Amino acid sequence: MKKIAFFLFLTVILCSSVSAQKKKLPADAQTAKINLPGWCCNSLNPTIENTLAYERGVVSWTLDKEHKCVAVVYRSKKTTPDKIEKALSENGVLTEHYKANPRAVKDLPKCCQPSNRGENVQCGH
Amino acid sequence: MKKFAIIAFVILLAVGEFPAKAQDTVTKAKTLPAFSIRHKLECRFQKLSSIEQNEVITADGLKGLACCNLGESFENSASVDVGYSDAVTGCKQIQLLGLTGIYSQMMLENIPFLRGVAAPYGLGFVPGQWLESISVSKGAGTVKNGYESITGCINLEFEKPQRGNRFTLNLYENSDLKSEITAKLNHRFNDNLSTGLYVFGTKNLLRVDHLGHDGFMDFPMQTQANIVNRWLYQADNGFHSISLINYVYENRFGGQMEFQPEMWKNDSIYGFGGTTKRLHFFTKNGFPINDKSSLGTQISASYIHQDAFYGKSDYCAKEKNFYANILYDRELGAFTSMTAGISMRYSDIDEGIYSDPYLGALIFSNDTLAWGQMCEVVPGVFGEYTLKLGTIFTTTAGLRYDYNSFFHRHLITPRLHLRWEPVETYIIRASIGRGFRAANVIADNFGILASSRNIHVLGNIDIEESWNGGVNFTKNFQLSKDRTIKLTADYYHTEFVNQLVADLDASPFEAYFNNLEGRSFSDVVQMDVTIEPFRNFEVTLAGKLNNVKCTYHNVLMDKPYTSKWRGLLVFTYHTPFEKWRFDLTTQLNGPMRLPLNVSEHNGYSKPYIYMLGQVTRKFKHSDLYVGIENITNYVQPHPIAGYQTPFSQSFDASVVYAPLMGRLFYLGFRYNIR
Repeated sequence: MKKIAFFLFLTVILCSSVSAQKKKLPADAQTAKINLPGWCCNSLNPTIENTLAYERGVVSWTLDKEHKCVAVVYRSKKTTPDKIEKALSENGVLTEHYKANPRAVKDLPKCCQPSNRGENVQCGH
Repeated sequence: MKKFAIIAFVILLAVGEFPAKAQDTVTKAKTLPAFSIRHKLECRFQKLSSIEQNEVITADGLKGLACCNLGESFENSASVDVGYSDAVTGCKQIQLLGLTGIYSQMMLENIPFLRGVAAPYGLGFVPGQWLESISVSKGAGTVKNGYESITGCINLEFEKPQRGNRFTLNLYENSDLKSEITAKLNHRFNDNLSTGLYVFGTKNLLRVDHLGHDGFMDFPMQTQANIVNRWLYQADNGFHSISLINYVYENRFGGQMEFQPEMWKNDSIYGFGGTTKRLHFFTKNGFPINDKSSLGTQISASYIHQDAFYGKSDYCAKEKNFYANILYDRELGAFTSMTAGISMRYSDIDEGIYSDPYLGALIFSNDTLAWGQMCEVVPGVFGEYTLKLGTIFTTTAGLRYDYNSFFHRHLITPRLHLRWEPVETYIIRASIGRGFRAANVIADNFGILASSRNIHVLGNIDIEESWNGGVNFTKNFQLSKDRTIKLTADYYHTEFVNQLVADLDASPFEAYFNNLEGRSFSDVVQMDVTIEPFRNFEVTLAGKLNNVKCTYHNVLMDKPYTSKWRGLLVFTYHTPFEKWRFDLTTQLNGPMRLPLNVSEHNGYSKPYIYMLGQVTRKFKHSDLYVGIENITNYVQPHPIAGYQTPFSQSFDASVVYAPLMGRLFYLGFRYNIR
């Protein structure tokens, strides 16, 4: 019994400590605005966020659905807006300068697929 | 039990607040808008729209376990129990609704798979890393796939080449130096055509005897090479074609620590060895005829050659299988649709056996086995009618007729399913159906060969026949916008009209096989609750009661090797964007009846706890995972009776009720290119 309780406790503590990390804005932080013309509705948000979360040098971001863009705070020593834009396109998001990876587009929610393929359709959600 | 539940509950309450606050900080840092849709990790879920009770284990769910193969993929599912067949071969067997996996229909992308002689061994032939999902349906299945699903269906979906990563590499190593490599390559030629090439290899390099120090290897030395090539074609007019070809080669040997494969048939040192070669092919094609009807074809063929020895006994099996199914679907009106079709199955099993377990034993060979060669030709015709009143009520009634040339039997299989959703997310399901199966005396019970029991087959074994019925209740409670409590309760009853009964209780030295004389049934009640105490933290609590009985020499007894009850507790937690993921599974296994045997284990086994956990760190293109299996290090004491004298009547390695491997650490690395 003790063993089980210990493992439970350990797991929960580990989980908590990992998510409790706070971030300070670094000295080389800059902001870039990336246009996402294929963004049709909120169903695309998880894809954008998951890409940015794993992108090296990205500090934070703000989604702006009205203007179909994302403002990214990044570390200029570690990445460039171009690299971030490329990463988004690799994950199926159509950007201003790059076409979306067709394989990744197939993984997007159904309503987001046509607009990210470059078709002039909006899902209306 | 009580203590455990209280501790778990208190810990959950105590820490419930903390991570929620921590997450708020992260959320603010990212300044997410309030309408953001949350990415949710879904490891297992009940398919609500399905007419059958269907539990889906997703690829994400499988990533939380060290799923080397299919046999290890059910650790966090309460519906399927996993156990070893004996103490020398290292083969795993599953149970669904309290009955061994041979009574559930295994399917690969909806085409029957791993049947006949491959059924008990085959779980090891499907690498976990190739799977996209596993769906477990309980109760009699649809008539479209034949008459063989008695307790349910397990459908496997391999990764789809048009959606999967371009390249994936998985490396795995455990503390007993078992190494594994999986590579997957997907290529899209254009929007219509894509292909995938998946390879898998495993080898263990260390002979281990942690267990009992009985001089026997805990796990056999195993080498496996497995390769799949699949093609997918989707035409613009709706024509759809999927084809797959798979080849597996496996070699394993075990037994006493000093044993080498060249020492085969040596009567001073006990060894087990076996080679299996399997080739499998399927193609399925769908043609839309018009807006309301379509035609589908399924064709599969397989060849398996298995050659094994257990001490001085030999077993060899060859099986050729061919299956064709043509289905026609049509919408009849706004609420009704039907499916009709014809099928043909050809199966040719050639089993050779020479059982000579000890000096002076009664030799059992093919001459005693009246149907060493079993060739079945089964033509069939079926129809299924569906009535669907919106999302509220659905019913499917199906009927099929088959003729089995080996048993000279006309088989009529009726099946009925109901799904009723009186209020949104309250779902009640019911099903009833008949099932048949051709039993294989040795392949279905090959653990017997790892004992000194004399084998006796009494009379001609007829086809197995059963009825299965059950009800299921599912409800999802919405706690807040994105937190739910999922509740599932079900009861299933299986009643055999005829069954191949392996009577091990008449004598510890004999195994009698006969047709059922008396009753054989299984009653299973299960309840699952999945809750999310706070964001990203999911807890699954499940409990199951089994009452499985069979008549052995005119006495109704509990079926051996079936737990009386089972409990499961699964914790899954991930940080935002799944950068870190923690999985902890605890299984509580109740007592199971052991057949009369020569070992010290008789009567009912002791209940035990089995725990496994894994931590995964995800990076942009790769994942790193570490884990522990059997955390509590509970192993069965002395699983091999008479290990000092393996060629005597006192030897029995088939009495296995608990894990055979002690605590095991593993480390793995996955690399993906999108």
